[in-house]
Amino acid sequence: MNTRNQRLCVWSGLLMMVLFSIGFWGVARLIPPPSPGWSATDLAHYLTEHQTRIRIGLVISMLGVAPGFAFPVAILLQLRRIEGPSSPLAYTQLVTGMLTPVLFILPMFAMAAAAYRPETRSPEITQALDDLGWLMLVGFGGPAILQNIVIAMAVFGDRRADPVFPRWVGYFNVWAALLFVPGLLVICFLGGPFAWNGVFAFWVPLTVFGAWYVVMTVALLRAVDQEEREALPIGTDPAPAGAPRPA
Amino acid sequence: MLLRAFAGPARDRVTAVWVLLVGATLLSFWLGTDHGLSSTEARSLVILVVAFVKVRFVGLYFMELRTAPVALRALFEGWCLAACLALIGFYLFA
Amino acid sequence: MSTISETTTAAAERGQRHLPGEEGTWVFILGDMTVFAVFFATYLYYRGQQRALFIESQHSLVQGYGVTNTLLLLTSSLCVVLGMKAVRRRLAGEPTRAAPWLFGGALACGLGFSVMKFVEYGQKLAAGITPATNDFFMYYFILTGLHFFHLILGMGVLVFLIRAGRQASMSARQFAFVEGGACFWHMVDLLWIVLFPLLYLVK
Repeated sequence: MNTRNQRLCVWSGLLMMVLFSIGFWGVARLIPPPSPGWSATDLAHYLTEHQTRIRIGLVISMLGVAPGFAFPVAILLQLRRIEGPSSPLAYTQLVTGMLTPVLFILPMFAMAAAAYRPETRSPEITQALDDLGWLMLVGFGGPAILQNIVIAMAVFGDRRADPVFPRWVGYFNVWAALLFVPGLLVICFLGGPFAWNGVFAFWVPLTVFGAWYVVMTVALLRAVDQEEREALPIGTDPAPAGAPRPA
Repeated sequence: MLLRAFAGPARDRVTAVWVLLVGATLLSFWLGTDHGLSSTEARSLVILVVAFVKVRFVGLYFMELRTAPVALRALFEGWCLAACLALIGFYLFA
Repeated sequence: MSTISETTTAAAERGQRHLPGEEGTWVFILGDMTVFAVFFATYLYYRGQQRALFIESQHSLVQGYGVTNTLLLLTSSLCVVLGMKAVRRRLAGEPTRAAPWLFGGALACGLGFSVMKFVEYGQKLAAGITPATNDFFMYYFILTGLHFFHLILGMGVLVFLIRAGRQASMSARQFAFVEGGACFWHMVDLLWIVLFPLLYLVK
């Protein structure tokens, strides 16, 4: 057992959020998102004018998303303690969780392509690339929803005397899953609260997404502490915990 | 046995709350189909307030928050008050 | 099973405070209610931008459907409350078998709501009214649709409650889960209590 590396994996989640925010929000200033209602010419003009900072910001956030690959590994290791040797939920969580950084990087490449040479090409092409980027970034809820549901199932199924995660973490994940649903409607709307810059498609899921990383980080750090305590030889542990059993 | 569930001594309070909620629903329906008060705005405001009074009753008596820990009850009642005020604000000033 | 009757019925009778369900249930329920409050406020905000259009579109809704659905949900909630009381009496040792019937009654009300919803949606679509018609109908379909989604989840919960209501004993954790399920159903009712006047009645 290597709890130091496990803790590094846990912290990678918040690290990703911070680096992504610096690049995407702070430098590229793509939050709040450019409105889908803009004309192609306006968009091309905007991207030309702010080309440098958008490019630098995207470079930072694309690199910054990389630590996000380690976070689902941390969740996997803890879910495996709940599930035992055969752990279908833990691995489903890993697969869906891995898609999150991928589905951040791909749309950012589309946005980077939009900002690549907006000054020389026809504005409609730039607009199409920008549409692709934003629709993908805001509308990718599916894997995240499954990831949340799988985590909730594992938490609710925890039969250990001293559970790995408190049960409210399960409820929190169900709640988060529900809130990612409106984001899927983004492909139908050019304006209003369900468009990619709208309250329900963008701001609510973004807030929930941030809150999810914070909640999971806290819950994982506690779970790693508990794992460490359980690994101590019997007698040195002040609070004896239940032995893990398969759910 | 099923009848006892509706009419037993400890049960009459929730049944009374249900009667009240049905009455409030019919009142809102009556107001909402252009009866009662002459001002549309006043009617709509009454309808909104009645809705949140009903919500509070559902919370306190059906969800049993009346006897829940004070913090939970306070959160619920806070939600009712905040949501009601926010909706009235958006209705009047949006 | 003395633990359960102590923590619930008896506790309530002694005037002690009892948390319905688990703490997590309330993270979920209050979280969901907060998001719906944001939905409601957004609806009123955009309504303020196009007041005339919203009021005109609202005329084509049938208030009777909305009222009937409200009454169905209120009745279902009453059934669930009485069902929970029956569950407690049964766990305390009384030979009552009312709980599954009462939860079944709530489920029947939920099914009634669903049928009304399908009829209502069907009539709108047959009249050529879709979410793309205008902003009012976009909100109408999305808000009622999201609520309907919760109702379907809730009916799943009721099926679980019917099964649980047959048991003569359950662990404290199982009982808390049952209580949380009942509260989830009340939330479905509670959200409709606000959504109905907002869409159908407020002018």
